[in-house]
Amino acid sequence: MWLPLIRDSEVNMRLFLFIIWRIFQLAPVLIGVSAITFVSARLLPGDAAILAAGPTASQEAIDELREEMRLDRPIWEQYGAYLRDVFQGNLGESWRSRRPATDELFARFPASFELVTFSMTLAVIMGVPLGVFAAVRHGGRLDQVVRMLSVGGISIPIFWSGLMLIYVLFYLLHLAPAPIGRIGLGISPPQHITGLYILDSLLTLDGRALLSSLHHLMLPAITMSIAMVAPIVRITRSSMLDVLREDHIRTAWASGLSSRTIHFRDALRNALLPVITLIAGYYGYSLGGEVLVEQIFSWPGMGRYSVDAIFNLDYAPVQAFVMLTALLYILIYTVVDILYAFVDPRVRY
Amino acid sequence: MRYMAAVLTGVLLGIFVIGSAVAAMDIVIAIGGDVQGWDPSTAIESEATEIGWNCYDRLLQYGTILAKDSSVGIAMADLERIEGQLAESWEVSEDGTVVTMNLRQGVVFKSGNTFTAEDVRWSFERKWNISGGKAWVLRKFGLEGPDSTFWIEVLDDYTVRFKLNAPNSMFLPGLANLPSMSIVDSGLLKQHATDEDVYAQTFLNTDVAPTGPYYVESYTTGSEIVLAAYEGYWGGKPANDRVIYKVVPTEANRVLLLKNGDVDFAYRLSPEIVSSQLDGAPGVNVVSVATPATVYFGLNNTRTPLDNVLVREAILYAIPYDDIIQNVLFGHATFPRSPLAPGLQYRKEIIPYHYDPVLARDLLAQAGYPEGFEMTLRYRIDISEYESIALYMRDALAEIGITLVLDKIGAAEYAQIRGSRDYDSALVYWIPYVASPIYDLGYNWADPQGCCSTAQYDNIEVKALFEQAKVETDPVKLEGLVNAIQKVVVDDAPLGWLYNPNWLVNMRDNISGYVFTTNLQTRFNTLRKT
Repeated sequence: MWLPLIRDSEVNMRLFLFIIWRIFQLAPVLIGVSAITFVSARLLPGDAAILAAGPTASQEAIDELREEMRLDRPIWEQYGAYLRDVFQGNLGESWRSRRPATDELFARFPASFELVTFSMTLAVIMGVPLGVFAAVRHGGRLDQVVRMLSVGGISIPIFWSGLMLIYVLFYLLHLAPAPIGRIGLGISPPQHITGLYILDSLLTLDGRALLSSLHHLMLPAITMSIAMVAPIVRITRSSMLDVLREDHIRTAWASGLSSRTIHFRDALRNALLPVITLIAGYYGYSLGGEVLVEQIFSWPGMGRYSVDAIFNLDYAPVQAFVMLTALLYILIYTVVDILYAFVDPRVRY
Repeated sequence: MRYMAAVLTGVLLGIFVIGSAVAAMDIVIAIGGDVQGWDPSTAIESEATEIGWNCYDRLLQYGTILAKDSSVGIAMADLERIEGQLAESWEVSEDGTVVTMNLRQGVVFKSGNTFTAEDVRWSFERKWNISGGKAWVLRKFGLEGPDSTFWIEVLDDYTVRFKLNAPNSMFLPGLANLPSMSIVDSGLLKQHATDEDVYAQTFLNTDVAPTGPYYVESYTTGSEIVLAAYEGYWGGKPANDRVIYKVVPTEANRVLLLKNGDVDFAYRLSPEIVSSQLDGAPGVNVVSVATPATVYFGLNNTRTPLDNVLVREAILYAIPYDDIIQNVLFGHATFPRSPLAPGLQYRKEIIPYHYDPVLARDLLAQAGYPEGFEMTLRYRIDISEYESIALYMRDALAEIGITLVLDKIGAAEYAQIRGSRDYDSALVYWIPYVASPIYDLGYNWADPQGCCSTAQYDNIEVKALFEQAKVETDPVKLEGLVNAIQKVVVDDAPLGWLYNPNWLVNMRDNISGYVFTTNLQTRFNTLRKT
């Protein structure tokens, strides 16, 4: 019902220019981000060459590595060399695995993406309707229950709810699988197409892998969505309450429209802007940093990898990770800006 | 709407009741962190080293004996009996400087290439030349020269000769004990070499070129590494078809998985969690075995007032050793009675220091510090037991008037200050990778500027004795020299010997055939699962 907007070719053109402008804006942002990350990573205490050489290495062995890692040069020279590499599409090599940092990140990104997208979908499916109902039955019993639950969801730390779910559903009841990552032991992952196990196993009709990866996705996704759903409910509810008081809703009631049409078409659509903003921000944030959930469920995502890299002064992956996260944020907010136009026809670019 | 909700719930519940499948003979190990790069010549992290330990063979190996303490109930490496692995036999020349190895014939690499002397030569050339490699270890062994042609020579297809600059008692034990002394498939690696990467390091970090009982079958980053048994292994195909390392970062989950029987081994569990969660747990077998490791209360002997031997003695008499061993390590450690690591030859149990705060206060007064002084203790934040030890130390030193300021640091910073000795005192973990008294004494006491001197202990007498001991080939004279060094060191009280930590093997009780090696790596082909 929102799509007809795109028929207007002038709008189409403007939208296109807007996207180009956004892409153009990327360059200064990424250069700024790379400079800040580059310097701050090197401010961490410790010496990467010593770590890479191992605990009993001799001074010569350390010096040799320091030269190879360019750590013997002044920092601006290091940064210059790094930028040159980046423009050639080389984001550096991890000293721990001696592989390009991008290999590792791209291998891990699908894991993060799958988990966060699934959790967010769960949270939106649960959160938006709950928020609408709570607003409609404002002050009623359902509203009370929803408010209590959302306060609980916000205040329970995610590592606690995760460990409790594991203890009860895996250890005591044997309902959930062992928290060992994305797929069961001894089940081979589906053939690599996108790296998203669920999508890949659907594409290759691999039923065993599909069931096992869904099975393993359940607990971490539920854990994550518990924390996500609470703010979504709260903002939907308050935004709906504002809209429900407006004149056009009263007019709609007076025109004899059904309550479902009024609530979901007239009111919700008007109340959606802040909800979308919140969801987008949360989504970008989670993609970059669900370290705790990844840790608890042995999920091989990007967050855990970059934390490991930081502890080991493995500069290249840290820098690549921050750049990727910045890129994702910009992408997500571009999509959100476009979505605004669909939700609110008054928004123009 | 309601129907949809019901269907959704049904699907979710359905998904919850599907199990997973693993073959009965496969061995599954829960490890704490992701494994990065397992090139045996550059690997540092212990799981990465263990992959190399299993996929490759060395020239030599240790024989095995049953543990002396029969209650341990496992076999151990016999440090007094070196056997051939890829070498069938070897001769050491009269003057101790030429070692000739006769190699095993009929060994085939996983790639199908036949193992010959050229593989041995090229493997050692590779260790010597790659950055982050092992040239410095080989120099410790007495191999010397601008490149490897100066010390290794291929005599024929199955004979190689090493030339040492002097007799060296670390050479043979080193070849047997160090995972980095692995022999790789030179034919295969040359195929994967490029102009920038002549030793195929990129290939060998994520793949293998082995003769050993296993090879890396698959690798999913951040998730699992699967080792598969090599059918053509010259020692016989291992009984377990696969060994699966599963990355489980949360310690509590590794414990649950082991208790539940989902994994056969759980690595990296703290003594506290083992004694509270696994002691007496049905189906779980915890083996606690003494290792050659020592945790030091390291003192920087170059800083005042720690340069005063009386002050150091006072500190050593103020440490509540038993409290730390019982309450922090839950008995999974022993009190070190010798400056030499447990299990090493010529070890003399002569450490007199024990908990005696009255004597400690006396010694401190004699040293001219009746009011005490202030110093800092730096220790790693990521080792859970160190925090409790630091608190014990702070209280114990406060008893005799010394104010201990605690300074927690990350692993990266620790690696740096370990070399620069930028501390008054520090908690330092030390393990001699080569089970040789020369290796242990040399690093700790004879090389104050080297990588591993914890105390920066500098004593002319010890250095002179060590120079003699290094090249001594007569066992009786060598024992005399090693004993003399131990005596001088202990009298100087250069640092506190806190405890010898045990190695905790946390496994299911249906696993047998575990052999403990002093380098703390498990070789999986001896394991049986029933």
